[in-house]
Amino acid sequence: MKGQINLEFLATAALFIFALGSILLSASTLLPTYTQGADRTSLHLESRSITNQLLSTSGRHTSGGGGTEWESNTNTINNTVELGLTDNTNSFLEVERDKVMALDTNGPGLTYIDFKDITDAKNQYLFNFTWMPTVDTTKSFQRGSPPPKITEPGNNNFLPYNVTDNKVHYGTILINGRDYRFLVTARDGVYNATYVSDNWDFSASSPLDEGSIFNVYGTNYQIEQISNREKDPGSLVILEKHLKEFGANIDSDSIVIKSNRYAVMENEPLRIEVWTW
Amino acid sequence: MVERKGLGYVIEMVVAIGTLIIFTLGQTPTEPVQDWNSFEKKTSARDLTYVLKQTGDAQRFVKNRQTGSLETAVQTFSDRNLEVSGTFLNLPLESTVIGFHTTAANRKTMNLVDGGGSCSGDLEEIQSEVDGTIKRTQSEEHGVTLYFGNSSSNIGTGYDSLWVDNGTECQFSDAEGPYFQEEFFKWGNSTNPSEYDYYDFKDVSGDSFSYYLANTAVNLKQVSGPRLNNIKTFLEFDTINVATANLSDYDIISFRGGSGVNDLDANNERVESFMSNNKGVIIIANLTEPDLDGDFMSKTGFRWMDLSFTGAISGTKFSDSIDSKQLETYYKGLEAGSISLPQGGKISSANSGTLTQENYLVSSQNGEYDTDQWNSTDYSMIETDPSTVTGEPDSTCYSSTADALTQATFSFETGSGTEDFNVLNVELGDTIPYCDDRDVRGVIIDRDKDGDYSDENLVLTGETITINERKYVPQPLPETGSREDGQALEFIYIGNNDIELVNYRTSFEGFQGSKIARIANADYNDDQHKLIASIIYWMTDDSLPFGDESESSTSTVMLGGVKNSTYMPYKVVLRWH
Repeated sequence: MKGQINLEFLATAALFIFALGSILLSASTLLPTYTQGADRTSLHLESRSITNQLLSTSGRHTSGGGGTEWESNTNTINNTVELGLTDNTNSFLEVERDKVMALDTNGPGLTYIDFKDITDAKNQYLFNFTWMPTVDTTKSFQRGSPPPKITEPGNNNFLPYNVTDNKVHYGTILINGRDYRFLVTARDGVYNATYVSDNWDFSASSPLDEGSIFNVYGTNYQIEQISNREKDPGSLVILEKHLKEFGANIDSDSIVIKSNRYAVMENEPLRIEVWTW
Repeated sequence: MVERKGLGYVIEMVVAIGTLIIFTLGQTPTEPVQDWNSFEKKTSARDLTYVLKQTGDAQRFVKNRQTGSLETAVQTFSDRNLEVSGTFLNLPLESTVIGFHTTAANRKTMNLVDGGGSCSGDLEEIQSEVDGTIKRTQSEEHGVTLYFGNSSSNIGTGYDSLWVDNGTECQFSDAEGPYFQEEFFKWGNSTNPSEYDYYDFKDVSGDSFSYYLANTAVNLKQVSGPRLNNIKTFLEFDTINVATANLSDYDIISFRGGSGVNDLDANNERVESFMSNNKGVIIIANLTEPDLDGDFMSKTGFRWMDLSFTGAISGTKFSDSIDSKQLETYYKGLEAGSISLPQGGKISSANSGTLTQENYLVSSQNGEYDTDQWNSTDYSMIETDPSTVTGEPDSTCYSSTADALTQATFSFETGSGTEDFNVLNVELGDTIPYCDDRDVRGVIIDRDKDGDYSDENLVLTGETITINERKYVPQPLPETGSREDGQALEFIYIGNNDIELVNYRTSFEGFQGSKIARIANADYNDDQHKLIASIIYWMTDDSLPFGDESESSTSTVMLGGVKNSTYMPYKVVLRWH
């Protein structure tokens, strides 16, 4: 007889509905994972594309006769049609300081809204620019017998110079047309302090350890790292100066990716941290 | 009926579910597979490689052997996200220890006695730095006494420090001490500045002071560093007795003079074992032909060239070989000028499989070996009926002209006399007009002297043949008024006839090893010493690894060059972790 509803039919139908429901439930958990993956892909790819553009082009404005020095003044900034940070020769990964400093989240420089409009970025961004000059302190002398040009530090009551290890490293770095002189001292084999001066007379200088801020010529720098690797301890001092934070506040409820790009600014390394969401 | 319907429902359900699953799986997109960490690491690695090069930091690290600073820089720039390891290539940056074998005559001992002798009561400078009694040498070298003490910083009780009173009458400048064991010191007299020698302070045992003559080591140390082309290098020099030293502590050992070569042969097994670990030997000696029969020298592969010269030996030149170019680069990097060198024996490096060295390391700018005596010529080759020859090559020219096949016996130099070979001189062609119009000839040599030429190679005019380790080109001489075609044939030696001044081998006939170099023994000036120093650099490993040796999925390469007195290219391979 046709159309009979019996026990077997009901059991079969119930099983079918159960199986269908399981499949739908599984699919519903897979989809968010997929969409998250797709979102991450989109974030990474756009971040890469935009940072490549910033680090390989000079940008362009249409003010006056046009040009690549979009950071020059308000007119050029307001008429920027392409955004790039490299110097005006379009040198890859060679960034110009003025262009970095012209980025200004809320103005008066090139604002974050301008950035979004010009680059047509679909996602949100936060950039952090940190300049990291390196000081070559390969040369050394025996404490107490410096080269004639060097006057050694005095003995600070808390951190006397005369109880540091015998080998003292020294070097100089030219930043913004000015010389910064460094002595690097060790204690028990670990180079942990540096003295900074604008000339070779360190008699009035106090020791600075990693993380300390110093101010010479009116600009603050941080002693980021003193090299203590086994093979050449004391031969390198890395400074750090935070230049600029530019972009939106991070939305921690979104998927946020972070990447680091690196470039050269005034012959010294520049680290660019990029958050994208 | 009902049971079959129930079973049917089950089957239909299973099929339906299976269909749904297949459809769903087919439509469900898979999660995009991408390792974004690796992606970002690669991007950062490329950026940092460029930055390190553009800022000049990489070049500074390479020039100063600062692998640690490179690792620190990467770690700091990346905010501890990245570590780097790798290798500096193509520069002699690896630390190298050279041991100079000292012959018995130059391994000296001298008795010590207590007290300051003529300086008694006047040795406060020394006494303030030592414990216990001061000793002095019982006799003198160059009219100068040495003083010994047990330095206060020394845990043991031995006499580990010495001072040289070089005529300054119990006054000791920094240059006069203290010198410690295994340090070089100058034993001389300030009243006669040219009278001195350098010695290596070996040991004080009881009242016996042992010391090795160290002039060679010190002279080379003074010209070889600490920088080559403004690149920091790391060479250590020591004097040794090859019979007793722990040779595994050294990368290169050197022997000087006839006595040195005798000691080399006497300790050949130790030296061969040393070389088997990819090490090098430098021989600074004038050699004679019998010297090449020594227990070690006979296995090196060096050969004797029994030839006279045309012209006089003067000046030096390098060849276009990679080894010679590298040596020349190091020589220029030491800012050396033009020099001349003695030959010190008619030695051929014979690396090329022939007696003479095709790509020499250093040869005389002027003068050459007179190799004409190695040529072999016959002007009276005899016309021969091909039917009387076994294994003659096919040629239609036999029926064209009687001189299409000639033969003669040629003598070839062996080094200890000559060796005769029968030679066929054949006109080749496959048509009579060809034979008439041209005169293409080839030669066949009966090397195995069995009278059968079928197992020998036909050598055409202009091709090269090697006979008794010498390269020749067979050159049939054309007919003249007094001779026919095919009647005259000359084997012309075409090997290199440059006079080598620095011999070298990179493979050996009796043992494994890295490199051997030989240069004459003479009283050398600074520039000549720089050439020997260049040989040391040439033997130095030109790769300097650093950091974690594990593999990495991300690597970059940086190319650069150091330009100072010469240009030295380098490569840095970086692995990112």
